[in-house]
Amino acid sequence: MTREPGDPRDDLPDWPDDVVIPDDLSALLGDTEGTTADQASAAGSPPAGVEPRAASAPAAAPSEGADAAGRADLRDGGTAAAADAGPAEGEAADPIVRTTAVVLTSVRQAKVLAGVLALTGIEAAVVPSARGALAVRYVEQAAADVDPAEALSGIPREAEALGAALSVATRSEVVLLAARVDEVDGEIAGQVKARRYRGGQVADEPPPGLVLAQADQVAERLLIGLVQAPEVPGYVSSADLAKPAGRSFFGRRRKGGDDA
Amino acid sequence: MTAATGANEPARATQPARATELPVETPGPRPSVVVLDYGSGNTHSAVRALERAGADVTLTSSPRAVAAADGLVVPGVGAFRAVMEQLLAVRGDQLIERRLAGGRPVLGICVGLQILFTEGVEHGERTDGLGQWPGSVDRLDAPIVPHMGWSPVRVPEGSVLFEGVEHERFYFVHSYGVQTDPAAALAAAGETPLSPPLVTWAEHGSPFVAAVENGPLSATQFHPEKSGDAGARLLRNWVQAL
Repeated sequence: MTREPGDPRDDLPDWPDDVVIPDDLSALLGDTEGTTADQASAAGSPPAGVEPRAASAPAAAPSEGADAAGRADLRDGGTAAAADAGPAEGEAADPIVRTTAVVLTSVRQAKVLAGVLALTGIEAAVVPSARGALAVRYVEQAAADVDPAEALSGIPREAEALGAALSVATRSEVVLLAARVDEVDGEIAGQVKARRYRGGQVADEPPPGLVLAQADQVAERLLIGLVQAPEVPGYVSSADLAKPAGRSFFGRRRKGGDDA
Repeated sequence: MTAATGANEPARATQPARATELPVETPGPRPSVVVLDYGSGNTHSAVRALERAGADVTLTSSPRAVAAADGLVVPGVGAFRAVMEQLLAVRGDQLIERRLAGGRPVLGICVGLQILFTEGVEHGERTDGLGQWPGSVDRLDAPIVPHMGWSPVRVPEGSVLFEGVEHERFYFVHSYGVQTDPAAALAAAGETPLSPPLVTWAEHGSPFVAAVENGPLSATQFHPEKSGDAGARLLRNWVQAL
């Protein structure tokens, strides 16, 4: 086995030559019931949340152009790019790591949350729920672009930024749920992580089970991928709200408040 | 054994004279309940009490059975660290987490309540809990420890577990407890999309958490299975809600 100059293993004199550091650390995570990455690979399926780029079209894709903030952009910029610069025949496809980020907020109306997002320049899909509006973003990353911190936390920086920004924009606590799920042998497998933000800072990382149990069922359906954000009744994209519209919406409220 | 917490030797305490009238059992299918068998103490009294409360009870740690049951009971006796080690050995953390993610009820009893909190501190040594609720399990701040016997509880409005037994006494055997309010952290955050837990308090030297109800996750510091008619009613309330 030859090493490139500057290989970090050069600093480890006892490092055995037959040890290979995996590029995709996420493959090591998320096993909860005996479905390991190895088993998944052996079964001909990619590990949870990781798919070959060539098979990146979602099973239940949103209507074209509907999710301007999320998946459509990624599809255009991700899959299309992959098709243009796809691997040559015989080369292994570069796997894609998909994460669905759902931010639980206490903002009652989806339109209000979308307006807040539009005013602050944050692009995300917004859907209503019985427990408060949800901001949704689909994050796709080439496995090679996932840094170890993201792989270990299970939360891409883009999702983290959305949670932190929303806690500032809504001036209240929000909870980010990030899921990497996939169907392995007919069963949904993967991992879900939860992180609570206040004032742009991480407050804590509660176990996601109880958070999910307290959230509206639509959050779970979004995370598992049973439904895409544009398919949820009442869906709004912050990108579809022009900034002036958002301003006038809040302007009217402010004026009403002043009058009172 | 340095039984820091739990029912090492149950006291021969006198049950209070007040008896609670048990509701008439309604006919119909009996909900299935798994008592998690992970080697933590005597689980037979819990099994018997749950059967009397109207459940079909299985004592097992089988992931399939745990996942399929209508309700899961996590008992716990002994030291926090030992209980956590035993629980992790059967992947109990993941079994509980999976159930909660699906909104499926889980009831912790005694140390089964304690391990649901962030951490336990015994003899200065800190052990991670499951972190479902914020808070530390510390030695009770009381002149006499362990706290063994029947104590009244302060039940919050809206409690499902304590319906009909709000003013009864329950049987406690423990040296450690949670003395901070797990709902306070959420309340301090102002508006939040999460529901704060309902906390029932008891007192031994100082107030401590006697029970918590939080969506599908409930837990009691006392032993309902050893709390006579009041405990039986509480278990029946839980079983009937499954």
